[in-house]
Formats: sequence, structure tokens, C-alpha cells
Amino acid sequence: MYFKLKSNILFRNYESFGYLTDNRNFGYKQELINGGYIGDKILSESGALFVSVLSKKPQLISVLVGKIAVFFAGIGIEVLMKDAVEFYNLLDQEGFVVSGETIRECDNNDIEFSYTTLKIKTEQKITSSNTLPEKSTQDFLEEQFHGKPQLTNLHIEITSLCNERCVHCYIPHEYKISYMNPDLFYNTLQQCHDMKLLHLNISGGEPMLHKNFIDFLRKCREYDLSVNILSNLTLLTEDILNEMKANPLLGVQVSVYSMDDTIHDGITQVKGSLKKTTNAIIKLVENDIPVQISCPVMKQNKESFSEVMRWAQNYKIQVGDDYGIIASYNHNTQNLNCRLSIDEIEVLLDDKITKDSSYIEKLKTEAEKKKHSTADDFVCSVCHSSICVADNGTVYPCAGWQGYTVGNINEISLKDIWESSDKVQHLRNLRKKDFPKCIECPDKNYCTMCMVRNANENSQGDPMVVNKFFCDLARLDRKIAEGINSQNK
Amino acid sequence: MNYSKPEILAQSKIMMAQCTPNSKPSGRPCNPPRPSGR
Repeated sequence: MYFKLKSNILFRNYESFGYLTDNRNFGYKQELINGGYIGDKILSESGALFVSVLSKKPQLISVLVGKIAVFFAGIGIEVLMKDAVEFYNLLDQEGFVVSGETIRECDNNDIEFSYTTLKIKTEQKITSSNTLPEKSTQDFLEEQFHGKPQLTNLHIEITSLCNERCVHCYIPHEYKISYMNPDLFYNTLQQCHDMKLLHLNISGGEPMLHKNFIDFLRKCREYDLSVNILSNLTLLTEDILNEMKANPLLGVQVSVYSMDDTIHDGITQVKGSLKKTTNAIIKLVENDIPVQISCPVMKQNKESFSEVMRWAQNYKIQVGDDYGIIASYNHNTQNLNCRLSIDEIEVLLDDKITKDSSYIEKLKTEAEKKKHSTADDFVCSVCHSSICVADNGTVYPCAGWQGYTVGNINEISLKDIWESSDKVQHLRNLRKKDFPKCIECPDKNYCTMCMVRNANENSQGDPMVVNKFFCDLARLDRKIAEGINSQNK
Repeated sequence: MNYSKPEILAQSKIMMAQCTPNSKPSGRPCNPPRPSGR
């Protein structure tokens, strides 16, 4: 019998325990997905060792047991064999491991993401007849780390240069001037590996402008990192495509604004960009590389963005539309000229409700979840599980918040910044009650507090000054969800 | 290491890092909602 780890699985060995997770737990939620969400698992110390000998290539059980036996000199091979088969089969049933009588059968049982077999599914949980512990991974990890935050997601800008000039971009165009030194990238990646990071966002600028881009992706694959690439895809080459295809833990996020090239190209300020981007998206789909389209809705594309949705649906690509443009991080609010007014958003939402009756239910469901939050809850995940690194080594809390430096990895390690930076500690210690007006706000269940939105739009860069536009947006959502008349709002 | 039969100690079957893009500013990646990053 052969066993291997499934291609979409991440494993981290903490020695005293092991952590197994499905790559789909990271990055954007994909409703259009093959199979259910298998979640994550904590393994015992010996369980972690048993999984550590598995790889993404099939291995004969006798070979695996031979590797395990090195660590347990006094234990008979028969016992290890029985326990290994039983444990691997359990993980097979739970969706983390695959098995087969032959190498080919084992590989064939590892069904990778594919657009051709993609079926429209809503969230699905695997039902298992195995008796498993009730303790949640979150509770286990909180106890294990004594509540100490663990860095699991890093956003890294490998260059600030971009070949487009999108009118709404939160990076001021005049700052798009430099590349990350490759040594700095590899050093950062090594630090991420040591910190047992799970997920990496590779961004820019336009990351494909970096001459070492393919080597960077290859290194991410060697480190078994889940990768999300944020790119306009206009510079996609066969070599990049082949490297992307080689990594089943990789996905892509790309912005498309309109299927009308005068509008899309007007937003990017680059003629021919829509054609290049959409051609590249089709190539990704043909090669079964997961891609998600972001579609910020602005004054320029409010009449035509829905065509992007229709086009994407034909290719089974998920689209996220978004009305909330944030100000650029130099606090120059010029890029907000393209942002829709609340009245314009209301017109669009009215139209959306007419076409999609479930929209109101979705709003209500989200609001219902937030009812359970308390004044002592974290404001957001910033500096609790994620942080960002710019091309010059500057570390900042969240994408778009480059104006708030918490350290520089040229001077101090990522681990030290994560654990000891005063600014990181400050952000980490903030709670919802630090926004006293918000916890009393009737619209709070329709609001997602975001300190970047606050900081970038405030002339002093103050993250604690609540951004009124997003208050109005929350009020609008509540009005729609609860059917409140304009007079009563 | 003393030998003990390998086992699963904890599990979550929900998707831990949900991020609906329309709750985030445009073009920005997700931030999972809880500490420990899961």
C-alpha cells in the first residue's frame, strides 16, 4: 500500500504536536470548490512524526514505517506497521492523506483543483463516522501558545513598481519606484519557514515585474507555502504559468473592472490592458490554476461592472465586488474621486437585491454572527496573525497601511518585530471598546472596523478616527437588511 | 521520544479563515479573524 499527503494539504511540525490544514482555509473563500472543507487537525507528538515522513509523492508503507522506526528503537515493526496503517487510513478518511495499491492509483486518488470538474457548491462539511476529539484546534493552539499570537500570514510586496496606473490605487504612483533585493526575499522566506508560516501573499506593485519572480515562486513551493499572487497578469509568460501550475498550493487574485476596454483601460490608464488581463485569466483557467477576480466598483464602472460577473461566471471564476475604496497611504485623498457616493451605492444595492433575493439574507446572516461579539474582542486580525513587508524591508501592519511602520527586517528579525515591536503590541492590545462610539452604534453589526480605512483617510494618519464613509455604508446595509424607511434611519 | 499510538488531539471542520472580499477594501488580501491565525 502507498500513502501520500494530498496536494492541497499543509503540514507544520511543532515537535510536541503537529498541525494539518487544508490550503483552502487560506486566501479568499471559494464557494465554487471541489469537495468539502475538511478544516484542520492537531496531531499528537507521535502523530506529527508519522505525518512528517509522508510527502506529496507516494511512498510504500514499509518505507514509511522504516523511517518511523528510526525514532522508536524499542518498538516492534509490526506494532508500528499496524499503527501507521490505521493512522494514515484515518487521515485518508478525513481528507488529508491519499492511498493506493500502486503509485499510479495513489496519485489518481489525489484529485487536484480543476475548472473542468468544478461544480457549484455552497459550504459543505465532510461527514465522518470516525470518533474524533471535540476540542477545537483554536482552543488547543490558544492553550499551547498561552494566547501568544502566531504569525501565519505574510503579505510581501516584492516590488512597488507597476505597469498600470489604476486611478483608485492606495499606493501613491510616485512611490512605485523600487524592487526587493532577492537576498532580502530569501532571507524573509527563511524566517517565515522558521516561524512555521502557512500563507504568503505576493504582491506589488506588479510582482511579475520582478526579474526573480519565478525563482521566488519556486522557493515558496520548496517551503510548502500556500501562496496567493496579486497581479494584473498582463505580464504572464509560459514560464511563469508553468511554475504556477507546478504548485497546487498557489492561487491568483486579479482585478477586472469592466468588459468594456475603454472603461477598464481608462481605470488602469494603460491601453490594451483588459485584453491582456482577460487572455491571461483564460490561460489560468485552462491550466486549472485557481483565480479570483476582484472588481472594485467605482464611478467609472458602475454601469458596466456586472458584465465582469457574467463573464466570470462562464468560466466558473469567483468575483468579489467591492464599493469601499480606501484612500492612498500618503493621506492624499485624490484617489477617492472615483469612489461612489452612498446614494450611488444604494442604487446599485437596490438593483442587486432585485436580481439576487438572497442578498438581504446574507447581510442578515453576517449581522447575526456579529451580535455575539463583545467590547473586549479584537478590532481585527492585524498583528494577531498577519503582517506585511514592503520591498525595502519596511514592516507594516496591513496591506494599504504602508504609512504605519512597525519595524524593518534589514535591522531586526521578523520574529523580533512580531514579538517585541511597541507598535505591534499597541495594535494588538486594541479592543473594540477602544472605539467607544462604535460599540454603542446601532449599525455596529453591519460594520467591519478597519483601521487602514481610518488612518489613510485621516490627514494625520490616525487609525482611531472613525471613517464616516464606512459608517454610512454600514447604516445603508442595516437599512436594507432591516427594511428601515429613509425617515427612520 | 517515548512511543505512543499516533492520534488526533483536536480538530475544526469549519472554514477558519473566511473572508468575503466585499467586506474588505478593494484589492486587499484577507485577514483571518482570529489570533493564532487559524
